[in-house]
Amino acid sequence: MVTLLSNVALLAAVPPSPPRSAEALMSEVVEAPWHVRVRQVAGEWCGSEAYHPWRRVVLSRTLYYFGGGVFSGYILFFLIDRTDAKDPLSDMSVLAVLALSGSFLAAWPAGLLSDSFGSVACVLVAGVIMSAVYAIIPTLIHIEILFFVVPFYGAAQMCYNVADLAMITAALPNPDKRARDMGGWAAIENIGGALGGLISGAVITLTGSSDQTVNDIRDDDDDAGDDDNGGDRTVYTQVGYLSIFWPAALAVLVSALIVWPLSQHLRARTADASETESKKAEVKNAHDVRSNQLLDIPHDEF
Amino acid sequence: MLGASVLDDESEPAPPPKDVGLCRVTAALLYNLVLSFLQNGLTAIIVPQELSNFAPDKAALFTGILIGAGALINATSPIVGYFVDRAGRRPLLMFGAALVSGGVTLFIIGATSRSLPIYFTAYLVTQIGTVIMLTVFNAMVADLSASMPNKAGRISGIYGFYGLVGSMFSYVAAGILFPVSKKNHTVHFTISLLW
Repeated sequence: MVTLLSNVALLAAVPPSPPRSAEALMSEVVEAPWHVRVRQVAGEWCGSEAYHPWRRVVLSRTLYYFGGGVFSGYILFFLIDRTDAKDPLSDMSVLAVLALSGSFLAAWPAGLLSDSFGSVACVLVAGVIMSAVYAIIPTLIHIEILFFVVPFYGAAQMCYNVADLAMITAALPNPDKRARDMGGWAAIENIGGALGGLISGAVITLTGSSDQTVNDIRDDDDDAGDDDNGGDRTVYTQVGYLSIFWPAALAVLVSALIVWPLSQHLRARTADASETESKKAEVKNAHDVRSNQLLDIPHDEF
Repeated sequence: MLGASVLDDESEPAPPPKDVGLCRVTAALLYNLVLSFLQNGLTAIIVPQELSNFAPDKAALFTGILIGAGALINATSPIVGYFVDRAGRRPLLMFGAALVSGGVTLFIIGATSRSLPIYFTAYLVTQIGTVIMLTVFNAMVADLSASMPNKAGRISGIYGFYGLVGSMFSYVAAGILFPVSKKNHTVHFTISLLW
């Protein structure tokens, strides 16, 4: 029932698409081999000057998710290995709730700030905050400091996400290919996160392995034997965590800095788009007014 | 003559341009709440836990396969976007919604019959439907932002806010209200309730 009602509300809100037959669509798809189309798209994305802002935003997002992949992948291990947390699993839940609360409170203000000061400025500020958090994490011992810091991290993350979305919508060069280009932007999320997890896994194993071991799985059942709790894993040293969190901090900082040159470009593009939309609306309104005036004229005066 | 004079009259001030309100944007993007709920709660929390109930010996392997398949499906969003550009937002949105609804129905069948192949199929169908719908949503955000360039940030904020609320609800539902366990096999009830 919820699905049905949501679908009805959504379809009422979405403007209708231009009529297009399935045959026409399929004929377009089969008229060129897939590898030709892939090469064409790759050429546009990688080589076209018009896609320069899009490329920068996508690269920025890749680096951002690289950092996010490191954080989400290793924060629990860090709590267990390096902090004074008594119950790391519960503390992890508290951290998640605090971060989500920060994000929740920041969602609407982030949109307003992005509109007021520009999406690039928001990305820069949020990137600096997140980078600072990543940089200080491996130096922490007391979990209370992390409890204090994480809401700001959540707020910065939401600010980044909101401004990033606003930024990519302004950076899209071709209105007819918006969905495809947005799809490319969205797919990068997985690649950046996967790279962050994979590379940091190899790095921390090389630089931070110690002789100590720990069992991450909580044993609530006194009767259960140790064998039921899975295998032990190596405890990682502070050097290991420094070697993954500091590159993550650098990646997020670079991700914020590389979009800075787009600031003027995106503002100009937004201003142009606003002007175009205003002109369109003015023309439409003027046309409506005149149409109404014409309708008011008596027939015998024509 | 009078008609021509009216048409040529430039002194008549035109009313201020109509601004598309954020209400319509809010209505259009509200669905992201439901989608985030499904994406985060069902596919990220409930399904891996259910797999460990279905096949305790190979739960990690099956979870890995599903996560890998999900990542591959997510990586196809540019291709989905190509079709969204060609066919329009609405048909693909309806197609995605149909797939998601079908996938959820398969989840219920798979959970009640404890059939792993049906469960796998349900996961894949739901993932494909979700990717299609998310791609359409992203395109819609771009369309709306293009028509209201000065409100692009607020549109993104609304979109992100709904996604976040959906995720929070899903974590509460999957972790606290309807936790999955061997004795309390509630996934199908959860899904039925949510959808």
